Amino acid sequence: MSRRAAAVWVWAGLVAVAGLVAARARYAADLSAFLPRAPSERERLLVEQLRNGIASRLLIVAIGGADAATRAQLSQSLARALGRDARFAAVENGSAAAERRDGAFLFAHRYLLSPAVTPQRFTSAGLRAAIEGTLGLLAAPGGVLAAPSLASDPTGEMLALLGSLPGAAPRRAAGVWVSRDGREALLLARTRAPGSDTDAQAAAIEAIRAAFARAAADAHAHATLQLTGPGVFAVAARARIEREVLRLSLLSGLLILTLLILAYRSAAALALALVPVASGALAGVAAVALRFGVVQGVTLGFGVTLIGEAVDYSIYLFVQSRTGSDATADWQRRAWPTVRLGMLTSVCGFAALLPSAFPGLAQLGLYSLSGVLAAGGVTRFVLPQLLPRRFAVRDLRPLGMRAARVLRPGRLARALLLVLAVGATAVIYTHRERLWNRQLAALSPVPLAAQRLDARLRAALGAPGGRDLVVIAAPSRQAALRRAERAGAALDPLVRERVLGGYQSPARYLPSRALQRARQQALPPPAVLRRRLARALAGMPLSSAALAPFIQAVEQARTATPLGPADLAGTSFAAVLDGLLVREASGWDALLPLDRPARGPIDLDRVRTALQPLGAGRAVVLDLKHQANALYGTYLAEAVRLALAGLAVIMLLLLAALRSPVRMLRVVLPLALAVLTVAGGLLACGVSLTLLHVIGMLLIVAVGSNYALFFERGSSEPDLTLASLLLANAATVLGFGVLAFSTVPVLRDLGQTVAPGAALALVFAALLAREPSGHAPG
Amino acid sequence: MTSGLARRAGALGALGVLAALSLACLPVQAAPGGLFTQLMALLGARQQGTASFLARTYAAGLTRPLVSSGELRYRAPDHLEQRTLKPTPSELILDGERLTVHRDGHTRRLNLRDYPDIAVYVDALRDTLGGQGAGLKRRFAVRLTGTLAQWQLILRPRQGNSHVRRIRLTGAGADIHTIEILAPDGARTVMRIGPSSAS
Repeated sequence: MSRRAAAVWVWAGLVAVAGLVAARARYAADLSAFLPRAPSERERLLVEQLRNGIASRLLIVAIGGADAATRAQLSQSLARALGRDARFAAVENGSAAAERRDGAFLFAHRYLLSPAVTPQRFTSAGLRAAIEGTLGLLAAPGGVLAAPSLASDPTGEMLALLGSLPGAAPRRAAGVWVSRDGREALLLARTRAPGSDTDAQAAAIEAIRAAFARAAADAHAHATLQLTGPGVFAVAARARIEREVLRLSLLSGLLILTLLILAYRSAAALALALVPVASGALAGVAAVALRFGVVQGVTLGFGVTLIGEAVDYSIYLFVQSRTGSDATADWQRRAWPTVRLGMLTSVCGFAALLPSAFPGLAQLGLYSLSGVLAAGGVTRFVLPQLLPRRFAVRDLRPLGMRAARVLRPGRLARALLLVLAVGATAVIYTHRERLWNRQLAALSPVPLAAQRLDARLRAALGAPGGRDLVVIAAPSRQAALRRAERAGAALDPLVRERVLGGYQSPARYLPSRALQRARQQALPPPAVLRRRLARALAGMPLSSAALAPFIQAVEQARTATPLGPADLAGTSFAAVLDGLLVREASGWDALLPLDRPARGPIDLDRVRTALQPLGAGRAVVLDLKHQANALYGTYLAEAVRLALAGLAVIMLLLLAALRSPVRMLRVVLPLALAVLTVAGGLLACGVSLTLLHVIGMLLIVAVGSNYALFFERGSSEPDLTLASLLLANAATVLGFGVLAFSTVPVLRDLGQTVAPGAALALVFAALLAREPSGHAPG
Repeated sequence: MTSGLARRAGALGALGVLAALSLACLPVQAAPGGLFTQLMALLGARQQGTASFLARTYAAGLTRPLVSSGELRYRAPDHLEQRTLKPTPSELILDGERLTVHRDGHTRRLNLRDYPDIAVYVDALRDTLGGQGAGLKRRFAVRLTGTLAQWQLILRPRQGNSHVRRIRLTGAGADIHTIEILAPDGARTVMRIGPSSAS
């Protein structure tokens, strides 16, 4: 077997293996590609909260259309149907029945739950003060509607307990929660599955839609259903990414095929051109699957660009190797070193992404790196063996000649580029204040309209936005509750000082056993209570005989078994507790979401100081949005570092290959100009730069160097070379250009940077080429 | 979400009195139509008024009724004030949808629309004040007996409002004499409305 045939066999074998790996790979299209790997403990908690926390399990349902009574009826039917569905941990719609159940639970256990229960309150003086308060409330006109029952709750424990619980009630109409304008009935559904389990979220959403459709059909109502929540976002984003990856791949593939057909006018050439492309794509998927275990849908989306990159090599081969009988061998000798160097610069650029903390970027790097290497290798070693004898594509020399007349280097061209560079620099300088978009949301594939709907419904329900949060870790459930109580005691003064609007705590609904015992010990036995009451009631218009139910209730609470999680079943507090007291691998986490004060944000430093006595690392204060943005900021900085490192490696490679700093700079200069112009152009169009723009700039250099190298090295067939570069460039620009029209921000940002950048790199490289002395510099 | 109950409890207390205030001391003027229509026309003609109140509260366990007194003010269309002077001074002011409560040196501002069951109640008061009999009948089962010179109006919430069982008003012409608020547990407050001590 000849060496040449061996190359084909090796290729075929590798393709088979890569195909097998790609076929068995796991593909994911959730949002985790956008969530960075988190090294520190605080960042781990942050990412954990974003992916699996209480807020991630919440689905908000809005029923619109029809009339208020019908909407309320649908809300009730939906709540009943979903309440029976095991996929939901809790469904709430503000129905009077649910509120009565909650009220009955609180009333039944008021002496174990109320923070007002202290030994002081049950002395004669304490009882007298509490009862006087109740009588004062009752005496006020209309007080009968508000005051507690004198017989069973003369000390007003229920009101004290209610006053200690946070949160504003959503608006209600016809017995259910409604939006601020009253035009939608609202339900809260909490899924058992975390928000990051996209399949489970999709199933839950489908269950809600189906239950609603049945309820609406039963009621013969023309009502509408709107859903929001992290699960809805995740499912929609997945669908969108899947749809776009398919659509964009098809579109760019079609465009590039059309381009090649127009250029080659040969079906055989077209088929052969696809061999390196398909090999590269397959190699990329296989490499990512082997390294990461799972292939992100977004990676395939980015991979669309690879089609435009990988097709370049065969274009060079087909278009440039026209002359002579042993055309391909001639090309391999003459042009391959330049193509190889260009390929290696691209590889260096992609390799710079490998250490990125964003899995999506690291995958893109590996995918493109392997794809480019495979496509280049196949073009060099396999494709020539597959070419039919006397294979030749259409002569594109006329195209090159026409282009050469336009892209003529010279004083005028250099002056124009200088003006452009100065202009772009000026634009960047004047926009220096908003150069970077530092919001993590900039990468979010959730459309603005959906974010607004979410914000509106959340505000209407007073649902936790999950913005500021204290996370308390403990080895056991009881320890977590005790620490939550200590944290609560530390936070109470801040609420009084209006540093906080309030806070949630699992210990409000389920006090630790220790605290419940302490409250029980504060309750006097019946004989003692009777004696103290007799003294307390002296001179008051209240007979002690009427308070028998009170004495009985106190005795019952005093001797009761402390409440456990199971006692909350059937109340809406069960779901709240479920969200605020979370089992972790190493123990339990208590979560205390913080409410903002009436004015301004929370002074988190004061919260941290207040929580210091709990011990280092036991209570971590998280500002989810701010810290997510801060985290994003560090990854933006990382992207800049990676891009600079990639640039440095590319320059070193060029220096080593070209053995001359001047020649290296001659290659880099047009690329730097292209980057500058694109950055200026984006800013002038009102775009703030994101992480993906930075990566895009690195890719302009990595991809554009291919073109610049040809101009730097010169050619014996400059028109033919220029034609091949134009064609290759057009394919690359099409590949990235299609991405620029994506609705997924990360894809769009990359596309809108690299597509114009690659085109400009070619034009600038042509304009800055050494002026032809005669025709062929060598 | 549960603390809504607590706030509602406070706000409801305030509104019991506002009911009284809103209906106080209206001038008599004959109007055509049925008794209810005529009464509505009379009450709706009132632009503003001030009255004193004396409230007695009866509840199980009390050996004698609890007494409170103070002043009521009304200005059309939707400004209501109740100032309790004894035994504990407090002030409640309703302006459109905003309810302001001063008590024990604290001021709280509530939006009525956040408490729909209260809002139903307040809407009913406004309907009465504005002579909007249709709105009143939509929300309450209304029973009016007697004559224009000596009438009794009984309002029962149509949707099971768990805080109010019944509101009973008596009066002569546009003068309201008593307002009785009956809570579901049987406790009740009877307010006597008289001429303002200030005027």
